[in-house]
Amino acid sequence: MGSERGHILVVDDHRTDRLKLCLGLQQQGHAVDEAEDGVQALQMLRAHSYDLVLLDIVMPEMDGYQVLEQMKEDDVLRDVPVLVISAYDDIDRVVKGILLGAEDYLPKPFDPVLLRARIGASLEKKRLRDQERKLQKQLQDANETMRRELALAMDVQASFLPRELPDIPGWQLAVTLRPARETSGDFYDVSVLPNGWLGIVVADVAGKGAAAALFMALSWSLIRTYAEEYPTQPELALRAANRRILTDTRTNRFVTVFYGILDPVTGRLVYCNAGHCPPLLFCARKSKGFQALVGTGTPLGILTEGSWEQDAVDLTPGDVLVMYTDGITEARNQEREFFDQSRLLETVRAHVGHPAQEIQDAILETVYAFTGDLPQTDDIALAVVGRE
Amino acid sequence: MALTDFPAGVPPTEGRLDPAALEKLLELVGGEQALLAELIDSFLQDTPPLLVSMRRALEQKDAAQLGMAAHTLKSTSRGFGAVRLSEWCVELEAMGNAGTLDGAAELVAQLEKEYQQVSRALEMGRDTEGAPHGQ
Repeated sequence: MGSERGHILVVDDHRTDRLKLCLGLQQQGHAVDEAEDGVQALQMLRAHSYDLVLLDIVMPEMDGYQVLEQMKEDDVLRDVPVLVISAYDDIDRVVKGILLGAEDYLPKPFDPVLLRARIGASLEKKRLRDQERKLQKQLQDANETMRRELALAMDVQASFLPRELPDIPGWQLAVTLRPARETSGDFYDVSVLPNGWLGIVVADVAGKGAAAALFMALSWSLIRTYAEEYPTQPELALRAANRRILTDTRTNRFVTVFYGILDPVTGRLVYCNAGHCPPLLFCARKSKGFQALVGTGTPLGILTEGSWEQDAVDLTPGDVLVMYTDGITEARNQEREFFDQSRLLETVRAHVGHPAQEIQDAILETVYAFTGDLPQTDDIALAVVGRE
Repeated sequence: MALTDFPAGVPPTEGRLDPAALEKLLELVGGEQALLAELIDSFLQDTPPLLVSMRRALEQKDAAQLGMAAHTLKSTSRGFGAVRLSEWCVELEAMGNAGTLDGAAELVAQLEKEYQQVSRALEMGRDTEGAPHGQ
């Protein structure tokens, strides 16, 4: 108690009372300024920085209430604590002062013990409040820095995605990535391979956020590199990428990948599914029956000597292939139900025959309608390929 | 140099100043007799204008002005141990608040007389107690 030292403004129209307080406070080690009335007090408050104001209520011209009201309307002054000075028998005025925002009061005649205690408590509170504000500001600044850095990371990550989709006559493509946070662990890639075939990747790195995004960048880069090296054999591309992931990193992360190579002339899709959600192939000829392109091996990043079987399907005119990540099937509604593959099937079935872009839009709209106001909890990558 | 005995030896003011109040005042200024003397001087300078203001309020039949002056003197005088002066100020302030001046003239006259006694006691106390410090 009483160990805090502060810069204090004493406001009292009566010189002797002012002098008592000033001398008393100076004796306690405080720096003290004095104002004779409310107008002068406000001028001084605006010109200097004070830790505390001792404010008499009954003053001619502008009284203490008016000073309090003006202080509370001022963005800077509203936080300067005020102790109202009142006559010993004047509790009504004290109450009004407290209601107007004063922190406490000091009765006249001044008691040295009470003066020390109230001043000490007010200054201590002010110090803690200032400290809290400073920490809050530091936290805000740190958050802002992190937000800026994440935004930069997001831009870099977005730059990995193909800027334009290849225009292949007789085929429609629609792809999208919807991260749950600033950065994503999901990704897609569409590229024309050296032999003119189309390489399509939809993948999901375990986890979310910045760490998953870094692993995503590595996986994306390796798969793309080896895809060009083995333009007809997805199995070899994945095997090589897997080996590099395991030899070059020690993160215990893995990535599920669907990687298909489409010959746009024949419509044959050769693919590997490394533990990824099975893409759904809707066959126009089979009255909207579908085929799930299930796993042909484990995710990348788990087994050094992993291998993947290669499978193939043929896309005939009117067929639609939907590749997605579990951000769609594991989206939940208010009742905690999953969106599930059944709702995805239902949505696509209702739109087979529509352009690929419309099918993609319909899937996303249905998912968002299902989750309602709940925030997106997982990244979503979605690719739709349709043969005209 | 304790002030407990401040009014002692000043028979005309005996009982007019509360030694405990003066002791607190001295404690407030860190036990510095010179600062207490400074406060007493200030009180002795500031009070006569308040009494004049009361007298004027009576002449002008301005109860609010009377109440305001009494309000100021009420706490200040109590701080110097002038209990009787302070009590009469309480009454005058109440009159001011009620907007009545019935009996105020008599009370102001009593108050003026009391102040003469109080001021003499304070002056004597200041001169005897403050002087050794040469302030």
